[in-house]
Amino acid sequence: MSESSEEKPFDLTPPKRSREDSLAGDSFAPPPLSQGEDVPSEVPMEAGAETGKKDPILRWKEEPDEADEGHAEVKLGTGKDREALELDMTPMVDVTFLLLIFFMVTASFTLLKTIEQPAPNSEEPSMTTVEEFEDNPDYVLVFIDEFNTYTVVYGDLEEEAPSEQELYVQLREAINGADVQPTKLMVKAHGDASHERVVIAMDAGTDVGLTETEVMLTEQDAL
Amino acid sequence: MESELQELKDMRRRRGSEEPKMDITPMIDVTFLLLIFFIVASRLDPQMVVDLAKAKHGGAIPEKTSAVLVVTQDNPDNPSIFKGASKEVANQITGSPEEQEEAIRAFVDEECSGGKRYVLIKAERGVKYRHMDRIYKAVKQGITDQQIHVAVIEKR
Repeated sequence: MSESSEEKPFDLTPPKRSREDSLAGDSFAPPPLSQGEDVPSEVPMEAGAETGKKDPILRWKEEPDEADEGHAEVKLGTGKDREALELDMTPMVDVTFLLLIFFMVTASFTLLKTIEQPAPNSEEPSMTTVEEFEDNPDYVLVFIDEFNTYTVVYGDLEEEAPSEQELYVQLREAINGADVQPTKLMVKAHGDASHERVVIAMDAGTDVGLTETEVMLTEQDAL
Repeated sequence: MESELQELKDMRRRRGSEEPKMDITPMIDVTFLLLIFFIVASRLDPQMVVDLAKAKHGGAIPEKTSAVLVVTQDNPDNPSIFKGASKEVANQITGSPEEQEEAIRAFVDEECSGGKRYVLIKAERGVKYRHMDRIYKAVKQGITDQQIHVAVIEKR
């Protein structure tokens, strides 16, 4: 204790001491060396002294790295050591993304897209003739022949539509030119026409606004 | 004093050299979750593959509540018809057209009695409509108030 602290026992200001004084008075600081005392060249070791190998824990104290520049800082490893310990996850992430994209593209789920197929009315031949559908302004008739070519019939209109695009065009023309807006589609498919063509005709009808669809099988080569 | 300044400079240099790293752990977690979902939910069985017709419009029905028939055009004059969602030989409906129609009617009747609400026909696009019409008529004999649906794939 200094004299000033004895005169003012309740003074809370820290005592002004030099760095050397504080080191000398610090209980945690090592005791100062006397002039005649030598610094021990080697730290005594118990296990490593006999073999001549130095304890790796103590080695850093004696042989500091040049990069340390005298800092008393404990380092567990150099930067290179730390990098070597880290697992490179990039290839794993690459493979994972590749698999993810593959399964996303090829996935087929249990929820299927479907279109409702109008059930055939009966086994017996229909009493309604094609001419009756042709004369009915509520119906647009699409005939699919054995070569999978469409023919759109509505009123006076009877146009062939070899392709799907043509079918859409002809159906739109039939609907736009009508006095009374038709709402029903009659698909008359030849027995040799493909299932795909019938589905396309039904889909085209829905696309142009013909909400009700009927399908009829025919074995006639022409209307 | 100089050594303290040097130390501060060294600290700043060390901090500056460290690049900001993004934590990609949540991204990998989500990716694995999606991967597992798609592995579980997808079916890679080649027997399930049917070359369906394409359509823009249409709805979706759950396959679990449907009696499924698969029609393939192996033979253009006599397409193969399978009970169930796969092309397994054990489930193939063989015989004459009349025998096939009877088998279809019995299958649909049994499935609909078990609580199925739809009859789903997965037909390859090249099957002739003559055969499809025959199948539709046979199915209609087996159903009461169920709907007949034709499977399609999305047209883009």
